[in-house]
Amino acid sequence: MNEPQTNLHGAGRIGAAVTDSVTITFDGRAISAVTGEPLIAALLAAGVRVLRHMPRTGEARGGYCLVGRCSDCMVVVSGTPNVRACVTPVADGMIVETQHGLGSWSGSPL
Amino acid sequence: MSDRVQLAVVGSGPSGLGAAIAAAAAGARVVLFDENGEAGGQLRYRSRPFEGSGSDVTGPELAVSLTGQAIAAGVDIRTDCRVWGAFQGRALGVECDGASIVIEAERILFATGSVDRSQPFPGGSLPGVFTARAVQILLNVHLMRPGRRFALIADRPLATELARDIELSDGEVVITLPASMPGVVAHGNGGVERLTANGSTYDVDVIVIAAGRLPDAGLALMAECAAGYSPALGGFVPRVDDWMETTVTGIFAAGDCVGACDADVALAEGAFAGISVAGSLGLVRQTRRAEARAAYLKAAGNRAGALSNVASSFDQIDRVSTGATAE
Repeated sequence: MNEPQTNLHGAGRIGAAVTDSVTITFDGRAISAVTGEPLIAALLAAGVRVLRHMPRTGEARGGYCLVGRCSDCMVVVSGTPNVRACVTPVADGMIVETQHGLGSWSGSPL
Repeated sequence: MSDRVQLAVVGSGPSGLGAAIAAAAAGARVVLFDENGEAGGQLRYRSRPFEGSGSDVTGPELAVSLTGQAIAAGVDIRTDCRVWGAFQGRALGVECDGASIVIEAERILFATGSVDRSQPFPGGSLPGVFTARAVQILLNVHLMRPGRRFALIADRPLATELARDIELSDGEVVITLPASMPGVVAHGNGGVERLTANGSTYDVDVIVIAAGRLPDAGLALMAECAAGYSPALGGFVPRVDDWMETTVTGIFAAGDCVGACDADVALAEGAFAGISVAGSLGLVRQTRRAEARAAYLKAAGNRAGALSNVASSFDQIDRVSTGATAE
C-alpha cells in the first residue's frame, strides 16, 4: 500500500457540503465521493495527484484533458487496469489503485 | 431504438443541438447521440462562451435551453452513448448501456467537436498541468478545485473567463502568460510546485494550458470523408461543400469538427446544416435551404471562406496497400 498523498497544493471541493455520497478506496484508503461524479473528481478532492506511473520512465501522471482522450488518468479499478478516471463514474465500494506501467489483467478472463 | 434512423447527429454541443432542432422542426426524424451524461458539449462548462460578443448568457443556461427546444421538436436524445465507428453505407457503431449495436442512417451529421490542443513544454507532463477545458469541467461541473494557486497560459477572452471561474472557486491566479508561452518550464516532485518564465519563478499548484482547440474529426475520417489541413481552422478537417455536406454523399458535418469556432458560430452553422439535411431529404424547398445559407453566412463572417479553402493536398486517405515495399 502506498503512503497517502498529501494535499499541500490546496485541492478541494467548492461550496456547499456534500450530502449525497458514496465511499471508494484508493490504494487501501477510504475516500468519500459524490454520487455520480467521475473518479478523478473524488481523487483530486481527496488530495491525490498521481494516478499512474509511465511504463518505461516511471514518471507520474495525474490527468490532463478530462474528456477521455489523453490516457493520462488511467487507474486500476477492481483489478482491471487502464480505466479512465475522468469518464468513469464512482460507485459505492469501488476499489481503485494507482496503475504502475501497463498494468496486468490477472483477475480477468482475458 | 430502431436500427434504421433518418438522421443521426453525433455530438450534442451547440452545432449538434442546433442541427437537430432545425432538422426536426423541418420534419426529420432525428436521433442525437452524445458520449457524455448530459447534452450541451462545451456549453456545459463554459461560464462565458460569448465573451466579447455582447451576450452574457452562460453556457449551461444555453445548453438547458437548447436541450429543451430539441426535446420539444421531437429529437430523440441519447446521452451516455458512444459512437465508436463509422462504416460504409452510412452505418454507425454505437455503444449504450454496455451493449454495442450498428445503426444505419439515411443521413449522418457529424458535430463531434474538438479537443483542447496539447502544447508540449518542459515539465508539461507533471500532474497539475491541465487543459483549459479540463479545469473548467472540474470547477464548473464537478465543483472541484484541483489546487489553490493557478498559472494561466491563455489569451483573452478565454483567459478572462478562466480567471473568473478560478476566483469564484476560491482559487488564486498567480500569473497569466500568453498562449505562445515563451520559455515556460514547470517544476515539482510528483506534481506541479513551481513555474519559471522570463527569469521569474512563481509558486503554483496548477498550470492551465489554453493553446487552442483541435478539431475532433476521427469519425468523419473513418467514414472516408476527404479531409485537408487548414491552420486557420485548427488542423486536419473534413472538407464540406456550400451545404455542409462532406465528400461522402449523405454525410454532413458542422461546428468545431470542421474547424474550431466560437459557440455562436457553431450554433448558426449547425442550424444551417440541419436545414440543409432536411433539404437533401426533400423535407424543405430549395428556397428555404438558400435562405438558411444566407442567414448562416451573415452569422459566420469569413468562416465560410476558410471552409471552402481547405487545402486539397490530402483529398484521399490512402489505404495501406498490401505488398507495398518500404523505401
